[in-house]
Amino acid sequence: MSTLSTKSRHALQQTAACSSRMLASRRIGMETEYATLIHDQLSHLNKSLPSAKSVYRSLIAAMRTDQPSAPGLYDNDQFFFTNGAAVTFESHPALQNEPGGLVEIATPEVNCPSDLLACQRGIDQMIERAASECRLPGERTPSLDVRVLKNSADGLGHVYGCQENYETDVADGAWLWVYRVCVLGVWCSQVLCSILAAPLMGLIIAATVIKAWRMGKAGNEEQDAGEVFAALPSWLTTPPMFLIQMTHLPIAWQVRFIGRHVAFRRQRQVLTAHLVSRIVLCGTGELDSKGRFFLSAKSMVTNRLADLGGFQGERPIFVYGHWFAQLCGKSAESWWRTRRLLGKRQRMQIGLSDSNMSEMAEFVKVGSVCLLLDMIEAGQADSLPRLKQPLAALYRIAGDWNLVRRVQTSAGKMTALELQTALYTAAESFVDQTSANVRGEAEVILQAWKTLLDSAVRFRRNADDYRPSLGRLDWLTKRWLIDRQGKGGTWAARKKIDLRYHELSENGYFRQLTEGRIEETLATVAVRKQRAVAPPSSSPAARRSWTIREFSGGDVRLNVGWSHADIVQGRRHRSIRFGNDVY
Amino acid sequence: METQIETPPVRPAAGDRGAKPNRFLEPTINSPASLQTTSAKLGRIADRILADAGQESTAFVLRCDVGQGGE
Repeated sequence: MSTLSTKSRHALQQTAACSSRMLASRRIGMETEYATLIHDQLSHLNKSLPSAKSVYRSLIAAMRTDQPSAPGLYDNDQFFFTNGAAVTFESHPALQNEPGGLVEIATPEVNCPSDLLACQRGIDQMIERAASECRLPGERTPSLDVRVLKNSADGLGHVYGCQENYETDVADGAWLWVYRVCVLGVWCSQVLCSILAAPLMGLIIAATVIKAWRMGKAGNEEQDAGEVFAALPSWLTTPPMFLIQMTHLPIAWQVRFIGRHVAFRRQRQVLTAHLVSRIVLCGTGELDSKGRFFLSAKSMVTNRLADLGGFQGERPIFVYGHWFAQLCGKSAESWWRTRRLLGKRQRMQIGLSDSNMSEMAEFVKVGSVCLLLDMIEAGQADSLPRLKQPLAALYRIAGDWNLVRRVQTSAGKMTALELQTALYTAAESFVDQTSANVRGEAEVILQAWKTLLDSAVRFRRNADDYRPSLGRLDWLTKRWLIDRQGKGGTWAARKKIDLRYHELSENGYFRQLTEGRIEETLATVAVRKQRAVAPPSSSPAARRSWTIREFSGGDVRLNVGWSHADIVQGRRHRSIRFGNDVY
Repeated sequence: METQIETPPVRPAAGDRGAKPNRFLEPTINSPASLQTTSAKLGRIADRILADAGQESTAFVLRCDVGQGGE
């Protein structure tokens, strides 16, 4: 059989592995925050840099020349693309005209880890290509030297990264009914809060409209609503905004309660030990301002086990911000959408996750969670070790790159590697007990998981035995580069290694070190090529992609969201549903 | 600000047999495995990276400022 047909067969096998109810097959997705950096004239510290908003719009313009796209339903700066990706501008309204900012890109919803890896790497290429073609408005040739970093902390210590999403059972049996009663309670709060906030919202909208009218009369008609709002005097905006935030407090308290005590109880009990200890395999490492090296940037700012995420500065492992955002919706349509929270299958979001350069680490990060979720749903995870003090254990493990510290678990004191070994062994045993025809990608996941685990164990036993880890364990590869500088290296040079390791360009250090090689055993070239332009056909993203391809750029107005698209042509309005009730 | 990397935060505890003190500062390259690159070539790539890391490093770090934390 020729090489080409072998590759095609592998691609078909991968597609089949994701197409039915196999192990490690569930709806998953990832959101990654990319940092941008203007690389022109670095030594000119006083150089005037373009604003975050103008860089974002330049990147979007470059991406839109590459493939069809459509703006979001509720955010004009958000764009959905035919490859299923959604690009969002992540910047505080007050900082949008300053340099910096983050570009968040979400993968389409997929059904298996190999598809997720392929989509994620396609997105990495998409933003890298856009950065190389970035030009300011009105310019014909690329004039900005924009670099994109897929990392988790910037030069000044701001932490970001990625979030993982998994569809799973929110509760079972009696707990499911307790959960539903709680959701009905918070639904009532949503309606009540909307009524209380309505006059305040009306005041702000009226002030914005009047300001826009005045600005228009003064000849400045090109401002968008956000910019007009930012131009309002603070004495007019601050009190109502504060009061609107106060009206949201009851919802925030209720979602917190549900998230900490009712939703995803079994997943939180079992998965926490894995999420905390997997940083020895999937952490990307960070050099802090004092010169200390940690296994994971996200771990050092994580301060809650389960919470909203960002409402009052909290950084949880299990994030409920997507529920909170839904419940803060003020329209009748938003109230109607809240009914989706009553379903048994819900989106569980994990915030403790670094942005990996290593393909194997990225694959294992998602694949191992999928396998453990299978075990939890099959009732096969009750004997797994659990952490007694998860956050204390996280800090203890993150600060130990010799991998020797022990933390308290239900099975006594264990190191992170011992925890990972116990979880891996249990997952392996679970897969062995499963019929071979429903294993899906489980065996590939186990193989990759074991490869990473063995590499880390070899380093743990002998610090000189790090070669198998290079290019696979991000934190260890980075640490190796940093330490090659010897004692004479400055902090800034070490920090530059920490940052430029993640640059998505030929100059990026990880790219140089691995010479751009890919892990073809995890996602074939054929699958990667498919996912770079189109999401899997079994995903709701396929219908979204089709809608964008069919209607964008025509004489209709198209706005797209995760669950549906609105198409307006003259007075005719049509809504297309994507069959997505979880995202 | 010019600071040095601190000494390793943790040393193997007594009783951790098999764990040797970390000697990262004097790496040796042997047994090709994950990277399909020869040791000599890997060394050359690493040296090129280190040379670049020493150029305009403070400016690079300062320029990499997103201004805010993420989600």
